[in-house]
Amino acid sequence: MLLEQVELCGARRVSLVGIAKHAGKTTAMNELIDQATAKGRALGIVSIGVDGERHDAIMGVPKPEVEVPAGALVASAGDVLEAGTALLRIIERTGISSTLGDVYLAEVQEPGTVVLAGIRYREQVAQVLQMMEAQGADLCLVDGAFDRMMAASPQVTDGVVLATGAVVARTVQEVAQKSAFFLQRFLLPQADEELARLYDAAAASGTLAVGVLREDRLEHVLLTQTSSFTQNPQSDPSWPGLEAVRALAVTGAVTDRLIQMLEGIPRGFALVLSDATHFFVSQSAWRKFLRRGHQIVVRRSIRVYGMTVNPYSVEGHQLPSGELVEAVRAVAGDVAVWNVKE
Amino acid sequence: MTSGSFWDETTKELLGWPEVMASLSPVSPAGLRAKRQIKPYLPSERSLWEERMDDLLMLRSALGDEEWAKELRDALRQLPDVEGLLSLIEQGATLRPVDFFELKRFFWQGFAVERLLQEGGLRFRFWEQVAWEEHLRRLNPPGELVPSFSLAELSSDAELMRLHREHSALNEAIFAEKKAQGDRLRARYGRKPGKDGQLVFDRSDPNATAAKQDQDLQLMQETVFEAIFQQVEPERVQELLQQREDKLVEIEDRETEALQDLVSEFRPHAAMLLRALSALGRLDLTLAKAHLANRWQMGAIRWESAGVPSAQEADRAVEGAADAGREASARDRSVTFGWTVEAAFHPLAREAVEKRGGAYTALDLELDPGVGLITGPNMGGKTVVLKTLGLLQALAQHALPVPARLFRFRPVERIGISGGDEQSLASGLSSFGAEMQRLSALLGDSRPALLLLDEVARTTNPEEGEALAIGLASYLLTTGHSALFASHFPGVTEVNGIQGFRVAGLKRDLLDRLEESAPQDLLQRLYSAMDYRLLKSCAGDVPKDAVRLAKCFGLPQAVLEQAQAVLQRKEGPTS
Repeated sequence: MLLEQVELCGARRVSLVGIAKHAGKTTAMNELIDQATAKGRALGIVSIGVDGERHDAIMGVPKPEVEVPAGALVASAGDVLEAGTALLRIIERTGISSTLGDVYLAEVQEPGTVVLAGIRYREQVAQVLQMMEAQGADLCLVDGAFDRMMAASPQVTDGVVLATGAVVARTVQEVAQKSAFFLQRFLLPQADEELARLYDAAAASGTLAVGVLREDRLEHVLLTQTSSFTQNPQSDPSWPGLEAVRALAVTGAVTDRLIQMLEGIPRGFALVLSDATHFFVSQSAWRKFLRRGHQIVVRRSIRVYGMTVNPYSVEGHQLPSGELVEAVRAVAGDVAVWNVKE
Repeated sequence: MTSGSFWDETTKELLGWPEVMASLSPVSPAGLRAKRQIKPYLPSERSLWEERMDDLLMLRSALGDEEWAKELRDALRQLPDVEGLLSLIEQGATLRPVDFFELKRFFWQGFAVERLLQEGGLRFRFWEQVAWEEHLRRLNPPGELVPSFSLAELSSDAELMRLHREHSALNEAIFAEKKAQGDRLRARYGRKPGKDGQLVFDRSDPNATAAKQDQDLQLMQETVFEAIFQQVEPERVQELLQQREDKLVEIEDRETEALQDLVSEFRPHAAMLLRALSALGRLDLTLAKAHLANRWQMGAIRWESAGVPSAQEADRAVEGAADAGREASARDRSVTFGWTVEAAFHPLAREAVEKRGGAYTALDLELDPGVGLITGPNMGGKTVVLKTLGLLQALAQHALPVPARLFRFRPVERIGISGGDEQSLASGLSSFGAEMQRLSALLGDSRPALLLLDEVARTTNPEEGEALAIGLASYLLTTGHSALFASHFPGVTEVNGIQGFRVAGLKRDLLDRLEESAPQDLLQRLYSAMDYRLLKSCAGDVPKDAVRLAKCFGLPQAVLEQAQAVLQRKEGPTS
């Protein structure tokens, strides 16, 4: 059971991230809500990006609504707060503004559906979660829109439930393959002590930092550039030279471009980033980088509580559920996999 | 300057008004709105000015109780901006439940502020009497007052709560019917459909044949391997779903009605509540002013009308002043109807001095209506004197606190400053042309003004420049304006009727050491060698330190010798 995995880890904040839109993330969240309600947990429910509408705004297809039990806390924008069927008691203003109005914290008086909207940034999620916990929530669920990885940030939530499904491909094998890549991002290995120190030095200075091996120690060289987007780190005035570098710590996003810039470095090079939510590398670029004998590690790893699979696609096709779950399990290693529709 | 306005943007900028105003920080949207509406009080608006100053002094005297002051600030900080909502209510527009939550917060905070004012024994004339608790109760469930808001919980709306309960009961009944169907199917086939409502049997499974006859299932698809059935919604569930839809419509209708009822209930009070919001904003602004007055250690501020000051005016001046002796002397002097400035500072200038580790010299000045002239060495702070007086005048006329121990002022219709270096690339004018253009604009308005003129005509040839400055000073003495001049031209000091001042200037004993300073220490030493006090002076009293200062800055000896020789030829050796 999904909730059991979460409870085993003692998590109080769980984010849900989908591989794509309509991967079954909201269904997974509703399932978690049902299980948590049955166990009497005091819930807090937040969504990043507009979510929970009766009909999806982009494709116009029906979308599962977020069903909320009595007693749960929800956060949503004033314009849509009353759009669902749940009866709400508005208890607090969050101070967050959105295009759909200011965001409020409300307590569900009578169960029903809600539209959760108005929260867009990581800091806002963190703030709302704190407010919910202050109001007594002991399990908070954060539903991240399909392109919003930030909810999974270890600085915001304790761990993540991933959702994958038939929406990403037309065959079982293809879905399994894409799901494996999706999962691998979240399972990026944690930096060892030395690389973690290098990352911390980069974070403290707000610049990129390079690790140079000197007498068995990784010496830190702070670069002048602050972003990995604009410039090749190797053209930085403080770059110690190809042969000397052993690692690079990047506090911002890691993209294909950066990975490709670093390909020529001698084997055994390590790239350290904050966490998986900052990793935006394609499978092919990642594969090539690893093939060169390099490694990519994160300062903070993300705990994955499990992965749900949705055999139905919004495009109309359906994959055999048993086979699909088995195929995804086969690539998921120790991560638990469930059919979200069962 | 726009016709009829108190000042123009150039004056505001030169006086540092935007930066100084940034330190006035109301904490609520209503307070910020009140700040945006701040305006100067003209000589004919004395009673309005006095009312605001009285409010400021009253609130300031209560700040001694720090805990109380913090509570008041916190309560104001949480005051929501309901101006738009109240306007909508006034028009009878329908609002959303969150809007009533905001309105309730407004009552909640307004009530809290009023209790704090009562606790502090403060009564303001601008305060709007509102039955806060009564309004709060209208948006509260029966019993204890709570800050949350639920439409269904209102005492007048048992109906809405009932409808919601019925809706929940229907949901439960639907769930129970579906569960019963699931249980039936489990009993028949050993398992129940998944969340998608499907049951799939292998074609060889005898259940596949039985299921085809089952009322609870419908065959969707048969492949060569499987028979796929979809759970059929029982008739009872369909009935219940219809009932639930109807109930939702009923709830929506009732909610709309309840919201409209609330609007109707508050509509007669909307105008009064808007006034109350504006009063809260004014209170917030006054509190911000009081905090600023404390930060600046403001003493007394006094509006000086033409005529003999009344005992009441004199009393206002005494309030808040630190030094009773000084006050008494100020009161004696006030019959001159001009300006008395004691221990004043320009906040930006003081901050800059303190940042570099220096000690700021506060300004003392007695200026009668007419024209005052400040002479003094370069870098002696003449411009700062002009800006300080201008800023104090502007702050005082806006009924804001002033950074001074005493500021007695004559209200004017307008103020203007000419910085003497108004070269405008956009207009293509030279410095001199731009300055003359500005002076012409400042002088072209006949309304009595306080004019602050910094080194008039310094950018043209000195002979003509001096003549222009003399002409200007003489002219100003014949107008109703008051002006403070800063100039290096000795001839201006000779103008009959002008009030002379000079910056005390370089301390002689330190000047010699200054000349031996290493270049990196020079500026710091120069600051400490300069006596920035403003002293009264007489005709012809113009310090001549420019050549020595130039020497300190390292000009070639040959240049200095030539300069000295020229000076000696003209008027004998320099001091």
